Amino acid sequence: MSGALAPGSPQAGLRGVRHARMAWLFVVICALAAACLLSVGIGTRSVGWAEIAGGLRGHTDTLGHSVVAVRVPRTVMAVLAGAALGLAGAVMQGVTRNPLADPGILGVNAGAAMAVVLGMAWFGMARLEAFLWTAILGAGLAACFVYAVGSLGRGGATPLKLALAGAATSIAASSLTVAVMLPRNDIAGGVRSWQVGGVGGATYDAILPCLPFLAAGLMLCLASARSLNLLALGDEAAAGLGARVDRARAGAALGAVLLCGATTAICGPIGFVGLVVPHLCRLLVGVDHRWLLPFSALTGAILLLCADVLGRVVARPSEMDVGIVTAFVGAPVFIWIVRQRRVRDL
Amino acid sequence: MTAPTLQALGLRAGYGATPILKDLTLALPPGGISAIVGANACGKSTLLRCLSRLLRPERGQVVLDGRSVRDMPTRDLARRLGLLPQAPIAPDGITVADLVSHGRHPHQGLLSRWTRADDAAVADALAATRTAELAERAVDELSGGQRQRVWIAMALAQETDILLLDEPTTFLDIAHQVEVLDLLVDLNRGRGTTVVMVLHDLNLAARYADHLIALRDGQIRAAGTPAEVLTEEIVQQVFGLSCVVIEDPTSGRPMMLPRGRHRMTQAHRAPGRDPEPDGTPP
Repeated sequence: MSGALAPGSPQAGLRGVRHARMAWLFVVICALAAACLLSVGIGTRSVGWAEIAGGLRGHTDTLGHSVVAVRVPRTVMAVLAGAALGLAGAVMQGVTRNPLADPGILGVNAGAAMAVVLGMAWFGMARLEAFLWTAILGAGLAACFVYAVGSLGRGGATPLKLALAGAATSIAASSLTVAVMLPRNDIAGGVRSWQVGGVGGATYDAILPCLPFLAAGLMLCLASARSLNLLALGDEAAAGLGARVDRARAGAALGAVLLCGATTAICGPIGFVGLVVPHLCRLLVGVDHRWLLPFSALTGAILLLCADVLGRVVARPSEMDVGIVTAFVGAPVFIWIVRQRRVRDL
Repeated sequence: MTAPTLQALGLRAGYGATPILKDLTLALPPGGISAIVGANACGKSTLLRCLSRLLRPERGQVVLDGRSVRDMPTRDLARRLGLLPQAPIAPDGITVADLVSHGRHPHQGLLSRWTRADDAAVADALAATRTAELAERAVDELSGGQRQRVWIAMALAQETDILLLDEPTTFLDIAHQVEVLDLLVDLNRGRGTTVVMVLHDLNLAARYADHLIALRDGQIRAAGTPAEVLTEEIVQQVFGLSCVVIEDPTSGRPMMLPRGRHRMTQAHRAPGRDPEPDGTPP
């Protein structure tokens, strides 16, 4: 930005917006840190500062230390999963130009879930690494299928056709999943607890294998921020500004698929994070994806952490899975957003 | 800067089995304002989509300064040739300044930062379209005429030699139509931008364009100055409409007055037509 600018000039206005965004960034990072502390400190058994400090240093000599040592990977998992889902939701809303899009709408989560359940039922799959590859494969296949169906006919892959194809695929995949699972009492319990979605069982052994996928997805998504800004103007205007529309859309979607597939493999399908978080972030920082994407990741992490903590508190001494909490927290927020903001026509 | 030459050579293009454009060849006068006119579904927008590389022709090619646009990197092309589609989308809540800044995209590298040149181009574009005072407003709060000026500002910020516009005056009232077309003439004279637009209104096209291209059934029926193209015979062939062409007293350009079945004076009733069927006395 150039130096001397008259107040009220467009550049000065942009700078004001920038300051507001930096302030929000600071707030969000502080909130994330606070949520992480809550997640380590609060639970069925409460622990004090000393125990948290000890547990973080790897001590396991007291019960408090052990509790912290279990909660830390769980917190890491919630941060990763929440960030991945929030980011994937923002990217998918950008890719489809559909304000109601999320990994669920494009059939990606359902595809991943179907692949995992089929793997459990037919191939006796039980290992996390196997879940991971299967889920990403399923998510990718579902995304490709939805894109192929949505591209049929005149005008290519329009947002409306993509959303319709995604919704239909999602329902079909869910039905097939249920059909496969119902007669199989032997796997029903395992599938059900995985399906509800949770970060409770997270260990570093489960987290490590999905890190490369999450990292790749993160890079792809963040790299497509500028293309998503152009796609928001409509395909023709984007092409006129030099965007390679199909390539940009495919790259961003691949990033989102990696994020969703890896997250679904570990935690099961977690709903509403990808839908709600980008809308909240748009209220904070506007529609520029260079800001919206990182904010969606941070806010997604906060939301999932808070949902996880809430799930531990409301059902004491037992726990409620995070997927159930996000549905309870997310649905009203989403309805509020739809009522507050004019949701653009497709 | 020498004015760029944009040509279409033997274009055949469409969306299904039957092509909309059939072996169409044209050269757009460099540094001029061209208007593509024709009846609905004659291929006007298809031609514009081919020229801007949105639609890949089945046969033939679009050539910019002797190079096929297919062979040019997308970003290079976007620095030479701008496009304002008929219905671009303004993201919810985006400000005018942000939207206009998008015009700089083809000038920015993958990692290069926003520069003074980008700032200057955006400020120039806002000033040229008299939208500077709107810069911090949200685009979706603006009136139709203001919004169209903002979109044109975005295309200006792109700083291309050629600007293609698909019906830039649709949805605007007559005062705003004239305003937008005046703005395009400013741009053509001030920056030497070659302007190519699809226009519905024949009279505005004849008044504002230096070069008219009349399409019929995916082929060029006539191309040339407004005086050469806007004739009673060509309007009859292109639109199937009988008309009277007179000189527009305000511009000296030709303008056409359609002959309908009703409300015609005796002298201008369409030749060979019955007198008014509803029995109105002549």
